[in-house]
Amino acid sequence: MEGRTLFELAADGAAQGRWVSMSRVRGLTVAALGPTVEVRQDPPREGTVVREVRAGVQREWAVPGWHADWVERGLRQETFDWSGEQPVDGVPLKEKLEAVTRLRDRLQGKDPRVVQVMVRYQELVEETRVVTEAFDRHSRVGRVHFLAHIVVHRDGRSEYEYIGRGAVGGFELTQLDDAQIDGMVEQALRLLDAEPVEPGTYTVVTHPEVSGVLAHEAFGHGVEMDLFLSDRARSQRYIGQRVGSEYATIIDDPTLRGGFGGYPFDDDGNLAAPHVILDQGILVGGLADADAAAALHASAGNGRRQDYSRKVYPRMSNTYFKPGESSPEELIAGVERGVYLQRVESGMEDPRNWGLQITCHYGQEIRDGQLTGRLYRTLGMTGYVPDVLQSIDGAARDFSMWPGHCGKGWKEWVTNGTGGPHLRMTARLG
Amino acid sequence: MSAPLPQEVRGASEWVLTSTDAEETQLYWRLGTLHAERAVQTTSHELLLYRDVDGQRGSASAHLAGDAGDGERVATALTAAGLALNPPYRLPEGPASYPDIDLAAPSLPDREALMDWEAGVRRAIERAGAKAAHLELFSSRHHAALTASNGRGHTWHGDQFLLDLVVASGEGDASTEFRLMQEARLLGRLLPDRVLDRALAAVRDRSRAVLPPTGRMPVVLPASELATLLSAVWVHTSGQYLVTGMLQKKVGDALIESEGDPITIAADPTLPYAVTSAPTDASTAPARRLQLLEGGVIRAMHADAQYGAYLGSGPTGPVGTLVWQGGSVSAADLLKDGPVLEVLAFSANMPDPMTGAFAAEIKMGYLHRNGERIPVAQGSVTGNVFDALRNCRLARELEESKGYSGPAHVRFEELQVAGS
Repeated sequence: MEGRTLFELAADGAAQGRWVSMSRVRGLTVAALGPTVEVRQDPPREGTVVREVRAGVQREWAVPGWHADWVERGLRQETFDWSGEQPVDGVPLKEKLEAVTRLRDRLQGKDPRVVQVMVRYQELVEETRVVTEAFDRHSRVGRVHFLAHIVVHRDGRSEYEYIGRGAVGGFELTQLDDAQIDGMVEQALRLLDAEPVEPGTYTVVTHPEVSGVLAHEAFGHGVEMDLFLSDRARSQRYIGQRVGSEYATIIDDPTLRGGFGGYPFDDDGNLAAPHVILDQGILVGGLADADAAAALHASAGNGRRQDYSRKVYPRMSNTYFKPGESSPEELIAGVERGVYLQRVESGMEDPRNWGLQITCHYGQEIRDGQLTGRLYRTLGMTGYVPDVLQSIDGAARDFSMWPGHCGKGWKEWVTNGTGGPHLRMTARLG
Repeated sequence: MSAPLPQEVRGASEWVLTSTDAEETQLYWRLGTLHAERAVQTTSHELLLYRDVDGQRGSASAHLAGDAGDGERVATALTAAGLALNPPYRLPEGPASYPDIDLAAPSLPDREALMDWEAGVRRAIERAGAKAAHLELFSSRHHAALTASNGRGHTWHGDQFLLDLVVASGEGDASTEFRLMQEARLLGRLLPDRVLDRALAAVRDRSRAVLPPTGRMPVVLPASELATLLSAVWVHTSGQYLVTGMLQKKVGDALIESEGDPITIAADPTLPYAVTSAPTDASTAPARRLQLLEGGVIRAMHADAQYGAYLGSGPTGPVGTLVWQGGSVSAADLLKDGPVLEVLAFSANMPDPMTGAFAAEIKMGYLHRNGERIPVAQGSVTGNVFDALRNCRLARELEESKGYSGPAHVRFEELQVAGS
């Protein structure tokens, strides 16, 4: 890099006048796995990045440490505190451990066929400051993910079920719904009798968790606008065209409270704002970081990096389908033979060829408008994205968000939220 | 390179300090043009503290910064360790002999060498009528030092190269692409010819691919997909999961009752230049080869100091690479007796490590039927890793990828395919 290190830049004052970002991410995990307990502090990811763009090439120098003294420019600092109602730093470790072991003990004694209980509390506290010639923005964002997972065993077969909650916020997110806690053991036991689904094309009703991953994989990754610059996204040729039914409205909103992937400004320093990606089936636009926005004359605000050691890319935040007007029961009532898909295991995007893969842990048979109670295990939902989205013929008025971590390809992990309402559509299952 | 230990560490019953630092060059190309470049330094000093209270043991880590705040960081970690108490165990005792594993070349290629390497890859892709739509190349050298209260210590260094490559072909809606993620310790091993050839074949044939037929049929998977399937074997030979109740089978039990080729798998963290090789684990246990499965029977379970103590086996060191013993037939023979589905790549293959269930979309593959080789894509393959391993045939040709060394191809006799 022309023989200059960041230290040299800082020493001679060259960092002044440049784009500088400081970030620190502190993570804590408190977990109970069976009879054992664990407290683990993630390595703090704290560093400073100096950026310059010259001759069309973005160059960054990234070093450990929070070097605020390099960028004192006297600008009024805009601050954003998204630490939640009960910021995690104010909660003693003992209380976090008790929340974990209390739930572990409650689940452990519920049924002799429960062979393992895992309860995990994870907190992330992210502090970011971006300083340019024009602004000085500083944020503090807390994220909490609380998860309970049980394994049941019978006659040589094991199954599992989990419940959880995750969002931007504080320790208040460890409050789980009692009915869900009580129901998860029963559901795990029922899964011991689950069967493979007969491969074929079905009418499916998707739980909000599945709807959210559909939004994320179909028109989340596929409209990250760095892909436009490398001619990788089929979507760039379909802006303004219909690619879904009138029930398909997809939004990415980093300001959505209740989502796990929110932020007040992105890692380029641009203020966050919601973006409508699909409006009643019409493809409206994509998601851009500063680099893609400048090249494509788009609005920025979706630039995110894993931590200071990695580059900023256009990324999703909280991506969801907009709710409709039906009830979930009404959607199911309209299905003669189909499957109610629940519990996502994984999903994968295909921005160029618009393939779709969502793997669900289980689904339930629908016959003559009723859930029959017959469970199917590990279902792969595949299809051609526009075909699947065009087939959506109903959206419920319910809405919930689910936490996750998303890679770009197989790396660059960031937090995100996915969600929406129950949806009804046609898809291939196997 | 280690940070000085603050005096508060005396409150710990035992401790392990692991320090690492690395310098990384990151280069980013888009359609053959360099568009971003990063120089990155990282450093870490993790002090793992053990504290004994009333016959029980807790542990927690402090991340030292080498400043006046380290004393408080250690005190906070000691408090945490005193709360998270488990049945007792100790770090391994006595001197250890750490293997000297080759993990780095004599010198790290400089920026110019990386630029030349990218140009060479790009030319090879263009000669095949395709283009490199996206290419990221990371190069780093890390230095690590481990010291511990049990008197053990070791230093080592290693190189790491990472490639994220999207090969594309065609124009407009008829265009196709194939994404590769490769990691290696040596730049010369980052993109073997056979891997690039597969990517080029995939983009060449994808545009005329059809849905595979629905039905149960033999499916042949390549090494790149077998590594993820074996994650379920890793979980089912985990001492931690046995102790905490998830697993029902233990050493001496048959995990896979083979009807086809016997399943014999070892964990080897000592393979030279393997991405997952390492001389020690976090509890100071030296690396060594560990036979996990022999003929489908569990011979050992991998464990750290804590779970090794609970099992009575002691710590087994880092897991490293899963080494799967090959078979006796050629990869070409695995494609006979069709129809057979040969999968080149799944879109994402993430088997449930506990149940072994998997369902994956076919990114690209071929149906071998009546002497024909028909390109297929989309649709899915579903099954269960443990059921599938019961009746499989292993190629004698071997291949390595991250965390995997074993048959280049494996034929699973009956998996469910969903397509047309």
